[in-house]
Amino acid sequence: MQTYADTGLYLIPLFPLLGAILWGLFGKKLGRTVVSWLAPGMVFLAASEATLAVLRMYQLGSKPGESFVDGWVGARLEQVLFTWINVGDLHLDLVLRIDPLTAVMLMVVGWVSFLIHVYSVGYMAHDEGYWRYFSYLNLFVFAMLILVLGGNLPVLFIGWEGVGLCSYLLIGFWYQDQDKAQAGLKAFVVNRVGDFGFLVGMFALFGLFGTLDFSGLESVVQASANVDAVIGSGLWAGFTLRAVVTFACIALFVGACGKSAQIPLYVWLPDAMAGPTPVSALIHAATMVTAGVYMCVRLNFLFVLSPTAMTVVAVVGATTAIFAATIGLAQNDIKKVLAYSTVSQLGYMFLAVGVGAFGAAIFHLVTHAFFKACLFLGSGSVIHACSGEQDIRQLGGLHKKLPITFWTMALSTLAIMGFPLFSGFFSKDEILWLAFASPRGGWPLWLVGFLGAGITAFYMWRMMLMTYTGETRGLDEHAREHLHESPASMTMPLVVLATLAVVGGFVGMPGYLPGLSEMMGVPFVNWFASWLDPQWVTAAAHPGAAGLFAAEGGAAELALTAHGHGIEGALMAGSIVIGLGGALVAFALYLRQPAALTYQVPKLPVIGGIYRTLLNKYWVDEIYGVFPIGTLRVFARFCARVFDDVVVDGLLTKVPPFVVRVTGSAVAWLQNGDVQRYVSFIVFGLAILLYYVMRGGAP
Amino acid sequence: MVPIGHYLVLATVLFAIGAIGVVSRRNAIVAFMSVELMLNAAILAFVAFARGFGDLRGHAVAFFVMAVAAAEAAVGLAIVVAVFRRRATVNLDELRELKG
Repeated sequence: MQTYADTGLYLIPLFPLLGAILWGLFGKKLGRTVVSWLAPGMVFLAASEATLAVLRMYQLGSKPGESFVDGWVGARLEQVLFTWINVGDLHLDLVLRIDPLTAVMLMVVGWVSFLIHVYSVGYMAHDEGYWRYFSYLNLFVFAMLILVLGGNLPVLFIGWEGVGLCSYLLIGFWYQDQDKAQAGLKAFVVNRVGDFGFLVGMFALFGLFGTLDFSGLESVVQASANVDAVIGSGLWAGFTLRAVVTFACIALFVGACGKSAQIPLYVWLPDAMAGPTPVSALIHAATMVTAGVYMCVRLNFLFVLSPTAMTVVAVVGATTAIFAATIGLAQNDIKKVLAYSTVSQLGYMFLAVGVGAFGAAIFHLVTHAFFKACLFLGSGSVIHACSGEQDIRQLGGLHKKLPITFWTMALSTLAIMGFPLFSGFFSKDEILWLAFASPRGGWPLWLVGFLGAGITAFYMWRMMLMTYTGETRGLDEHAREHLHESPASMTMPLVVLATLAVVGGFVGMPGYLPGLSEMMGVPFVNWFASWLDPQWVTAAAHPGAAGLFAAEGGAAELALTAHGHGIEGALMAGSIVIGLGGALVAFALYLRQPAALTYQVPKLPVIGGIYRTLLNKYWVDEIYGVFPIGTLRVFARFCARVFDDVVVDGLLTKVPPFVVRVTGSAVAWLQNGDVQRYVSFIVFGLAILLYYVMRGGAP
Repeated sequence: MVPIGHYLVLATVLFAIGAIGVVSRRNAIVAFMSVELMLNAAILAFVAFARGFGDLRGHAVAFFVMAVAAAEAAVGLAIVVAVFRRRATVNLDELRELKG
């Protein structure tokens, strides 16, 4: 892939930043109308600029006169804004770069953000702090664009921390509510744990390779012929290159766990639902939480060097996928169901990363952004219509009152459960197939993902049926009269996202679809995989990873030669069956009496116990409350009572005043208020100074 | 032409007289006049160097210092008048409030 200089990349993050500053400083004066039009407008400009840049890149990276698949060789656009840090061996530029991977992220972040901004205009129409809200939201888009555009790890880290900050600000947006402010704090603190890992990984990489630029790292890695040779000198003397890369990758993955809500750092995401619902859709479903996946895929050339790190990623991803899905089974808050579903789907993405299916991870990231954003916005529409009620036991019978919301959410639910030909079907199936067949995968990983798919279908339909079918159960008279479909600014984004959730998968159709492939007589073209293909390093250029596989394309080919189309088709059929099975169970249990089960189940002997465990989220928050939070509290109390009260207050508050008093009284005569004495000091001092200057230097 | 050293000696003597005046005289007006004397010593040194090296920038600085001295005189005398109105004295020994 060739790199071309570009002069227009800075425009992409510029507009949202401008917006954030304007609304933050003058939003209240500008008024609701101006902010409501221009805040989405800024994001529209950014997304348009991004689209133009991607088109420029496409022109440079494709051979003229050939079809997309044959002619696409990939290209990088690069703009160095300025030298940021230049100290010793460390040279860092503030550099923005677009390559095929960034292009995908830019499109998702830009346009989904725009849709959610439009939705927010309707959703936040009655809120006092709309100008503050849009300032934060624009700032978030800016940070997210920096994150995906950054050409080296520290620039990525600026965006990484920026989105974390905006997440904190927006979760605690209604800060008068103590619980919501606490939820914001929890997100912030848990992310700090992850960021520590990120920093350690970054330092390790710098210590090893002396560069943090992605292109630089890639070429250094490819140049290191023998990754198992022991390093002779430097910070990592005595270790093999592979061992250090393993360490760095796992450290970076800890960072990804924080941002992307994986076990053990996922606990902040469900609580993050305290923020306004469009924020949950944008930050805590579609974009920010996928930053960890993006970062791991960005560093794919490092991860493929380390089978250990890959296995860790795959196992954590698969475990999170099924763990969060089971919690989602028993949640009664509409947004909590979606939150655990998000954690679970992010687990699938990491499963894909861990088995080397980087392209499939990004593909699922994209389709998930569509259908999960749509589901969250739909839930926001429901909450908006029901005067703030979020408990699905209290809802019900809404499908007639909210037809657009219902249909868009239903389509997105079909997408997430993997209904054939919907977007989630293609992406999830590619992950499951490669989890089974890739050289780094295996049937246990596949089985976990497979069961998770069934559970997903079940809890999603449980949520849908309890919300939309039967009788409206909880709302009071006033709220029932108030029930209404949301305004056009809210339903339009829903429709667009639902459309994308339905058709978005066709860009990444697998080469082989049983039945369809035979009927058409040709294998399908997976445009999405072709688009990302130049991104992955080839085995020839990557001696360290030879023997494993070099990249996505390699993984898919190796998988196919090992197992063949027959198994691919069989697995696909299995996914369809378990998805439909989960949905059918949900229909059978909840269609007649949507809410009755939630009251009966806890009384059953064994199932009731399981239900309570799930309802209480395996008591993970309580366990964390004892360790590490409880132990930290004890330590903090020790610091406060013993160290602060005795050492600091005792020693430091008594000794310095004594010193000050003694020296003060000793020199106080100098300052007696007589101006002439001061002047004589000055003249005297000047005379001494002059004497030394005239003598030529100090004595 | 008078050598540059002569001017500088004169400037030094003027500056010293001014400095001693500021430190030792009790009347604020006299101390103030002494400050003017020091400024003029500086101007003299500037002009002497400017002439000696044939560089006009010294002259420019001299005019600049004169302007500053004029402004300072205006402000300084206003302060002296204000102090006199308030305290009925301009004796520096009796004005000892400038301390923490």
